[in-house]
Amino acid sequence: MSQHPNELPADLPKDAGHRLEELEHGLFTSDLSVNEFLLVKDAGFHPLGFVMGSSIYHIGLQTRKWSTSQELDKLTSAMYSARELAITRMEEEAMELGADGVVGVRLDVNYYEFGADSAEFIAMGTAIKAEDGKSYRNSEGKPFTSDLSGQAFWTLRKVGHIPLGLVMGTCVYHIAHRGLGQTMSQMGRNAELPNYTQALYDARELAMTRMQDEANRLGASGIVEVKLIEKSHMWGSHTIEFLALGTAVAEAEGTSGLISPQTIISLDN
Amino acid sequence: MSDVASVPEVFSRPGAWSSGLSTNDFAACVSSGLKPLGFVQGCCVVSWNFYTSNFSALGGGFGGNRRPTGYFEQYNCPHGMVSAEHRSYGLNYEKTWIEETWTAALQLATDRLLAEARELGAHGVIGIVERAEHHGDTSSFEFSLSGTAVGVAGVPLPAVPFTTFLAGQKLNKLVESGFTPVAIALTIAEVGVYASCITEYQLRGGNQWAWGGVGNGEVDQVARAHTAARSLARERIRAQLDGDVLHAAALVVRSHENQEGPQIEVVVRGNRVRRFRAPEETEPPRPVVSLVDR
Amino acid sequence: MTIIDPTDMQQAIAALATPAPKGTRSVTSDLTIDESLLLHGMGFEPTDLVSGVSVMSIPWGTFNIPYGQGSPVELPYATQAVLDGFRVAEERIRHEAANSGGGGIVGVSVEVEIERLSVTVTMVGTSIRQIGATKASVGRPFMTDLSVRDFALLLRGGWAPLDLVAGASFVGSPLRGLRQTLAQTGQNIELTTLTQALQDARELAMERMQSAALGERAAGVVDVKIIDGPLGHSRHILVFICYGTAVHLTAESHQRIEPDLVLPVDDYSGFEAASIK
Repeated sequence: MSQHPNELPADLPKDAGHRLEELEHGLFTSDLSVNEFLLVKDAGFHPLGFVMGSSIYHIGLQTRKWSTSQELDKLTSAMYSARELAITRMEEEAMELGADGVVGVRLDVNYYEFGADSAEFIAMGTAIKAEDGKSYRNSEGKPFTSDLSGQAFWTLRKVGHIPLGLVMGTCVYHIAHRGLGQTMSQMGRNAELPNYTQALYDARELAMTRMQDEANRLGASGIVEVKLIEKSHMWGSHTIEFLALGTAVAEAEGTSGLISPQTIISLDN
Repeated sequence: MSDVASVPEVFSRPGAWSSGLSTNDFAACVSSGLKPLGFVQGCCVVSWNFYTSNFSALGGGFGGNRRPTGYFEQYNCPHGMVSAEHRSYGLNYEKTWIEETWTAALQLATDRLLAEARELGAHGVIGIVERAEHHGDTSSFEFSLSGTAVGVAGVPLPAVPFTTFLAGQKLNKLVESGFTPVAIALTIAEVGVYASCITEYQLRGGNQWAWGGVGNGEVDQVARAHTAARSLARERIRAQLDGDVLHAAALVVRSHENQEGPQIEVVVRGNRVRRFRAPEETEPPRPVVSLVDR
Repeated sequence: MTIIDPTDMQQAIAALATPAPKGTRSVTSDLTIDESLLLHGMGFEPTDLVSGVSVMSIPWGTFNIPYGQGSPVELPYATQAVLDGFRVAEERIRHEAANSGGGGIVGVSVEVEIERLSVTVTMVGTSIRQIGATKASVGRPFMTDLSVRDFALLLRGGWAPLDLVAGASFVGSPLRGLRQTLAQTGQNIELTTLTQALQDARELAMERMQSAALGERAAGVVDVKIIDGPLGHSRHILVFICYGTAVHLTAESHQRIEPDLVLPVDDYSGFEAASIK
């Protein structure tokens, strides 16, 4: 494949071609720590290379109604697409290397001075390949992606599971401002603000449901290490992005089972 | 944050800041035959004036009121007379007066700590925490040392009580591996740069002028000052060792700019230890994966 | 917890009366007791604390991107200064290590400071050698930023470090050109040129690091560290620096470490020589 750089997916930079070509010739790079490196090896995988993908997205505003709680679907879809693009590019780099998966994926959002309403979404991780020659790609024929550390990946393999992919759901939600009358009537009382509660609840539900839908599409038996991240980015305090992120897993063969752990208490300080 | 955090052995004992010994250190200490006698300390506040490189009569023999001592290098201007602002020379010079004051303060603080320990009939002081801080204005500076005085039954008192940053578990390991704690070791090197015209252009602009073209180059004067400061500090700490070993050495560099150029301070600190018996074979460590979330 | 026989302690304290034998070479190292023990167990000993510093100048104006410039540009002088800085600092620390009779340097801490007109690269580490090795018998010292603990683990896995390898790349993005483009678009879209430029920069830096590793005949680079983001003093300049330890396999094949599982019942997350976590 490396002899035909033209086959590189069109949206990867040209320098990636040369770099990945070197990696195909046997050199590996990885941001795994030595611990993680040895554990990935112990789990029967070999690191192939450090892979990354990014997307700079211009994310503008969407009209909001002052006193209505609602999802801002255009923003939701922008936030989702930007991450999706970054992850897809990372996957493409991994596929170019013939990887079975990518571990230790980090998803970051960077804001730069040069674009007030734009942000860079970046995904990076280490591509790995099984040493037993079997394919561990997911049902879509793509390398699995996972934000699991080398330690977590090793433990997961020990209990007979394999990651299928990074799954995420997002929802950008505008939470209504309270009307003046409402504020007055509740002044001095400790009361629940039902519309706030409801809005936050809805938004989280939406994000998590979307993440679960993705996992179902991959045929997962579960999702581990789910993180729920809430951020206002650059929209002010009433508009919040809820991001649910986790690794979809399923049972797989080729494991030895977990040896029962020893409990220890360290006397160091 | 005090410098002390940079000594790895001290950093690993956050519980020992004010109480002398943490519970674990205390347990390790008494079960290994060290008897805690009391909390001891020594401190010293000094001040020094601000000096710059204003050495008299440069280039024409040093005949003025202050002569450079210690490390000294002169960089002459290759351009000839350009303008009144154009520096006709540059200097790297060791600030021996700061080093001397610092060393004297450390010595006084140590002497006071040891005097307190002797008062208690101690063999040594363990778990030393050292603080070196500038007070508010930069002209006064405090050295303070504190630790726990300990005694060992059945051993005659040493001529000078031993001192160590270590305590508890780590101290036990040290002894187990055949080392005896001797003393804490600290030293300083201060080097000032009075930037030459070329260095000025390199650090502050106008590079093309100095080099006759655009391009990269090393800022030789500053690199040499950095290297000199470090090797001074290392030579000095080695001179304190007298055939012993320095463990857990931390080399802390602080550098700031003033109107003359970069000013570099290097402090090295660590535990001076001595081998008292041949090392034993240690069992190779067993790799484990922890099921605790990171 | 290590509990020692009180007679050992007595022996140790009594030994204070006897100075080190005349002519013994003093050794300085930044290793902790655990690290010293581990290193000794692997058949190595420290020779000295070593360092290397380089200060590279960058031509004036390197970080000024002309107004109206339409697309992001790479800044070759800044990139070169960082790469030269790494190279020179490595030469110096290696020189110090060789002078002290070391066959390698472990635990190298790397600091990169980027000013408007200069780049400072600082490296500090401990030079080590095989126990009993002489100056003549050690070759060009290897170099790694891995700790003694990671170094020991790597050796046990059948691998050995070769060298510290680095790559760098700087991209300047035009201020006004981009704002103009943005003003015309009210939609949520990907900025493809910019995406491309940043991704290019990262790929370039990684590629530089890989070339360096290939030059050392390495099989891989582990523990790659990344310095990434806008420059403090020139926010429109994005810097990407990566460095890691180039390694090669010294054993016939990779040696599995077969770790045990432990479940700590405290919040301790440190390290002691008796149990590598």
